[in-house]
This record gives sequence, structure tokens and C-alpha cells, in this order.
Amino acid sequence: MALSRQAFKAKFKEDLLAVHWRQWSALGVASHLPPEDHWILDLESLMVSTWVLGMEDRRLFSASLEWLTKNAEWVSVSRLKGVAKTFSVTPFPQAPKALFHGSLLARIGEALPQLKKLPLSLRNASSHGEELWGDYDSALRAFRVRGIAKPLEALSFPPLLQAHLRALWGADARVEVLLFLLFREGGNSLSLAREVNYDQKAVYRLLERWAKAGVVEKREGKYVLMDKAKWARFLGLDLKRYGYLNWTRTFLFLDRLARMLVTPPWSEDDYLLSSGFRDLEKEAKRVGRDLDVPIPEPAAYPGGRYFEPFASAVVEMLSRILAEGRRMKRS
Amino acid sequence: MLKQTNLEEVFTALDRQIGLRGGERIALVICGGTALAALGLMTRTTKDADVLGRAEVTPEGLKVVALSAFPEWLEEASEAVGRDFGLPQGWLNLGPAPQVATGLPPGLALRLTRREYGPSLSLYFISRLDQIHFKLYAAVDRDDYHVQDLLDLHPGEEELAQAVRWVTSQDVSEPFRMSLKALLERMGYGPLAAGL
Repeated sequence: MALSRQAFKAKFKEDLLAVHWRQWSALGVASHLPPEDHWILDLESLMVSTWVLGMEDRRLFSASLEWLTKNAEWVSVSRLKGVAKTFSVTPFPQAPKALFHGSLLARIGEALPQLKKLPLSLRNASSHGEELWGDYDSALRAFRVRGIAKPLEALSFPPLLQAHLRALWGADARVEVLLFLLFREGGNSLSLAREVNYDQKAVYRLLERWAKAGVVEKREGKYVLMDKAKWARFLGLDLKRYGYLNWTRTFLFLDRLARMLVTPPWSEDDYLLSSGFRDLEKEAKRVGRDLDVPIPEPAAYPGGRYFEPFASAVVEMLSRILAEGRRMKRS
Repeated sequence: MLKQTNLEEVFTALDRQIGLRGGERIALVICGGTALAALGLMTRTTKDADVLGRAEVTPEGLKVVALSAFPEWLEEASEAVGRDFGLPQGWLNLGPAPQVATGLPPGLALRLTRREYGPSLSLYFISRLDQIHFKLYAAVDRDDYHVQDLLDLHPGEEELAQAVRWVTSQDVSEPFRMSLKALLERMGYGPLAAGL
């Protein structure tokens, strides 16, 4: 049956928020949904994406702030700023306004005194673009700790591997680089830096150090993790049971779609949505590849006819993200 | 390709893309195959939309105003629509625009048919009679689709006579007159050819 714009909007919003709630649930936030139990989480990407979607679900926004007040020490502020910067780029010239801006980080930093224990202040974030955040201001003023978030150290299961590794190494590039190399084939310093949202020089120095120490080896210009099985045993991790996604890329794509779906004139016009989908085709294909969901070729669907096949593929992506844990459990 | 069945969709899309870019409201005068299709005078497909100029309402009535280039927002909007509908680069073009400076068939502006595609775009399509003028001008010296288009318009003697008067005012050279005469004979308009 053809997927209407209204039906897609409703399904997309419900599933996208569910992806976020499940991840927050895994991080110890009381939620109506079970915790994510398949995908390895990425704290900074989840936080930025949650804040992008904050005004779509204020409870989610508030829950993320409460979690942050209790778990600030687990967060890499420099990476948080890096991810936020990625979200502040408009994907194409006529796109709806940027998803995010550094000024919101500053506002959050100011609004939550508990964040003073962060090693690097969010207050350093830019204050440009302040006029964008009127709704956020009222949500931040209304924020109260309601006792719905637990401290992270009370939790222990594989999707929280990033946090566990940070307990060992602190919040630096080693954690994200190791996670990537555990689940993926490897890469050069530039591709890895892009994947993990750290500075290329820092990633290069780390990889060279690891190469000398025998943690990684260079194969055809790529750094590859040696003896993944040993690492998996050490971390108590079944690599086939858990999945890795580039959450910055995945959330960025989904959040851009989310913004388009609530912003006129895109939100009211199948053709403009189709045109916007074409603008996001490259991003969609990369995320689609990660999730094994083929994205239909736009040339086969002229004008507004691209809406339905693209929207169906996005629904499938979200359903794979949500269903993967359940599927893995059965197998 | 542009065809009678997708013109509405393509130009409505162009209207939306102009709106997205904050472009000003614009009224364009369209000739060629797109105008033929839009007015139901012909069903063949065409790869582009030929813009003659901008339509402007003045106290003296509707005027066709010359355009040397499209505004940037219209260029961008047409590129987006071209991509979205698989149309060739430059599908919306000012190919016939120099004709505004050299002279249009008398009364062309009075015979335009207006269509609205949304808040940002209206199009004025030239009439069948003006198509006969332009097609005759284009068909001289050529044996291509312009000749067939002209034949398909089934021009009456008087319509073609008007067109002949106009095209001979556009090119007064002897070789052009000879080519025109030969074309009219080939088309079966002997008496008209004989008058040249």
C-alpha cells in the first residue's frame, strides 16, 4: 500500500524518537521502551541528536539533561563540540536552517550548574545564532531533576562499551578508534578521524603508537586491529551479537529528514520533499549501506514520485535499527 | 522530456523551487514545442522550454520584455527541476530571446494564453498563429522537425500569408526569399510562393 506523506511523518517521528528513547533507556534513563541491546552507543552523537529533536519531545530533552547532570564526567566535551559542529552545517543551499548551533551548547552549559565538573566548559561554545533558540530557552528554564536518570557506573552491558572504555582510558580518541576498528575493516588516519569525529593528527599519532605497540598493523595503507578475537574476549563482547553504526552519520541524516518533515514548505509538498530527498541521496546511501537497506535510484522516479520509494526505504532503515536487537536475540 | 501530460507538474515544481529560493514572482513568455504542447496543438515531446522573454503588465497592456539572462534564483530553480525530472541541462532557456529585440509578430502579446503555476510563476504561451510565424521562420533552409511542426499546425492561406509578411521583414536577403519560396512550394502553398 502506498505510503502517504502524513503516514510517513507519523511513523518516522515515532520510530526516530523510539531509537533515542531506547538508547537513553540503555544509559539508565527511565523510559517506556526497553533498553537498546544491540547497537554500541555513541554518547555525544546521541546527545546532539536528542537536542536537535528536543522540541519534538520535551520529555526526551529533559531526560537527556538530567542524565548529563549525573554523568557529565563520561562525556567528551571536545567531541561533543565536534559532533555539534557537524550538525551545524546545512546539507544543501536551500535546506531548512542548520540543525544545531554551538550557542545551544553554551546555553545548556549555563543552565545546568552541575556541568561545572566537565573538564572543558561548554561555555566556550560560540554564542552566535542565539536568536534560534527561543523554544530551547523555555525548556531549559523549565528543567527540573526528576530522578529519572541513574549514574552510568551502575550499569554494565555491551552497548555501553564506549563508556566502559572511557572508564579505562578517559574520554579521548582511543575509545572511538578502538570501537571502529573492532567492528570495521580498518582505515587510514583521515578516514578514521572522520568516522570518529576527532582531529586527524591526534588519530594519526595514536595509530602510529598502536602500530609500534603491535595493537594495529598497516595493510595496504589501512590500519587494521590485530587479533580482534582477543580484544573481544578481553572486553567480554560477542562481535556477532552486537552491531556498530556511525551514529553521527546516521543521526545527522535522520535528523535532517526530521527537520525537513516539520518545516514548511517541504512538510506540505510531496514534490519538495522528493527534491529534498534527492539532495540527501548520498547521505541516505551511506546510511543505507550500513543498514543493508538499498536506496532507490532517483532517476527512476521523476518529480514527486520519488517520495514514496525513498520514504519506504527510510521506514525500513528505522525498523532495522529498532528490530536488530530483537532479531539478534532470536538467532 | 517535456510532454503535454507532465507540463503542469514540471512548471508547478519550478514554481515551488522559485519560492524556496525567495525568488520574485515572474511571468515568462514561452514559445516552441512546450507552448505547442501546453495549448494542445501538438502531442510530441520536447526536451526544452524556450523562453521568449518576460511578460509585463503595463498601462498600455501586456508587453513582452527582453531578458538577457535569467536571475540567479531562476537558474538554480530550473537546475533543481531539471535534476528532479531528468531534463537536460538548460532545459529552460533563452534561445529565442534575441527575437524580442529584432521584432515580434504584430499583436503577439494580445494573443498570449496565461497559465498560473503557483504564487511565484505564471507562463504565457504564444498562440497558434504566432507559432506559425516562428515555425515558418525556423523551417526556411531546414528540413527538420520545424517543417513537420508547421505542417501539423495546418496553417490557412491567410495565416501563412501573415507569417510570410513577418518573416520577410526579419530577413530581407534574396537567398532567404528564395529558400522561403522553395519551402512554400514544397508545402503545397504554390500561390503564396508565386507571390514572392
